[in-house]
Parts: sequence; structure tokens; C-alpha cells
Amino acid sequence: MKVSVRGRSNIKREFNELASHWHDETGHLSSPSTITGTDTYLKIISMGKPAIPFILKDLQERGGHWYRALRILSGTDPVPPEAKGDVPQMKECWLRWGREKGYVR
Amino acid sequence: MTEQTLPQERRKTFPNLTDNNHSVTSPETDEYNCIAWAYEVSNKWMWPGALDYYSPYGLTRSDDLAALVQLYLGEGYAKCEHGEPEEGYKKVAIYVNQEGPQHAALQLESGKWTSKLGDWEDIRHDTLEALEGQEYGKATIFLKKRRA
Repeated sequence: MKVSVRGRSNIKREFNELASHWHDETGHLSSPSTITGTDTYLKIISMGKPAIPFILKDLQERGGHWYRALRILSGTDPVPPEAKGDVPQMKECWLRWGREKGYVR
Repeated sequence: MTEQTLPQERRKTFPNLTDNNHSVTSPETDEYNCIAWAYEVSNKWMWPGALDYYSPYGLTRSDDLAALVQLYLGEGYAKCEHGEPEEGYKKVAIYVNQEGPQHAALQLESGKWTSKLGDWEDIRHDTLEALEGQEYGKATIFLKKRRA
């Protein structure tokens, strides 16, 4: 789905606001269901596939538990079972996927 | 040497933390969480049965609290009544709020506690009450294991 330049700018602004809020409200938490069940996280998921490049950029720059959102939006999971919970590996799997799909340079 | 405490902005999340009842013991990292830290692992994010995280023994997520308790039972812990120090034992305390289990803390030999605060820092805290409140709830489940 192509997004116009203005549309992309709006998505970026909306994502950045939501992502900052989500990091602030969940940074101290450990429960995956609590971290990824906030209204803010669900709003980000509701932005749809156009949010994927911004999520990957945030994952790369700030980290965070974006894996559920990425699985839902992409319909895939590039993290092998043996890497689950190994955060550096999980990030690298998703960023490699993002590079292959053209979401990440 | 003055011990470092959690930044004021983060201490707002835990209203029972004071200048004197805790200190930061490791910098923030998202590579492990409180469950792993209480399990004495510092290179995995752990949550029993969660799709994206490490869960030993093939634990399934039928019930978060039961699965977390089983996690520590599998490491030789046994349920006990309280978090008070007992000679020769170390303890894990699981905090629960209205949304379910949120945090685990590990008892140090001194009788004080160590906790990893999500993606934030590790801290040593004098009491379990220091982290109780809206976010983590209350230390409710206690388990103990003989020290090696």
C-alpha cells in the first residue's frame, strides 16, 4: 500500500507520539501481556502496515517489546524458537527481515 | 561512596521508594527482566508460555501466576508463607496486582532484595514494600530454596 509523503509524515508524527508514551508507561514492566496490552500499543497496531518501518526504526534505536506488533502486522515471525527471549538476536532477526522487505535501509 | 538511587522521574512509579531504602546496582538494559533476574539469569527475557520470550521446561501459559510459580518450583524452590529472612534459605517474592503477576524479586543473603525493573535498572531494595503500589501490586507469593 503506497502512502503519500504527507500521509507518511502524519503517520510518523502519530507513531512517535504514541511510541514515546508507550515507552514511558511500560518501561518498568515485565509482563508481556501488560506491556503489549495497553491502549497505546493497540493504537499503534491499529495504524496497520504503514507503522512497520517506524516500529523497526524504534526497535533499532530504542529497543522495546515490539515483537507482538510486528508479528501481527507482518503476518510472520522471523525469530526461530531457540532465539526466543534472546533480545539482541530477536532484534537482529526482525531488522534483517525489515532490510529484506525494504522497510529498513 | 554515595549510593546511586533511581532517577526522580522513575521513582514516581514507585511511591514507596525513598533516598534511603534502595540503590541502583546495574544500568538499564532490555536484555533480561525481573523474572529472569530472580531466576538468576541475566541474558534472557523470560515469561512462561509467552510467544516471544524464553520459557524453560515447555511451560504453557494456561495461567500466568501458576506458570510463574511452576517456573521457580522447577528450580528447587518451594512455596512458603512469607518473605522474612530464614537462615540458610533464599527467597523469591512474586508481586501481583489486579491484572495478574507483574514482578518478581530475589532475596539477597543480607535479607534485603534485588529487582530488575522491566527494561530499567536493577536495584537493591531494603523491603518488599518498597516496590509495592499500583504498578506492581503487592508481594503475595513467596518461595524459598536452600542456599548452595
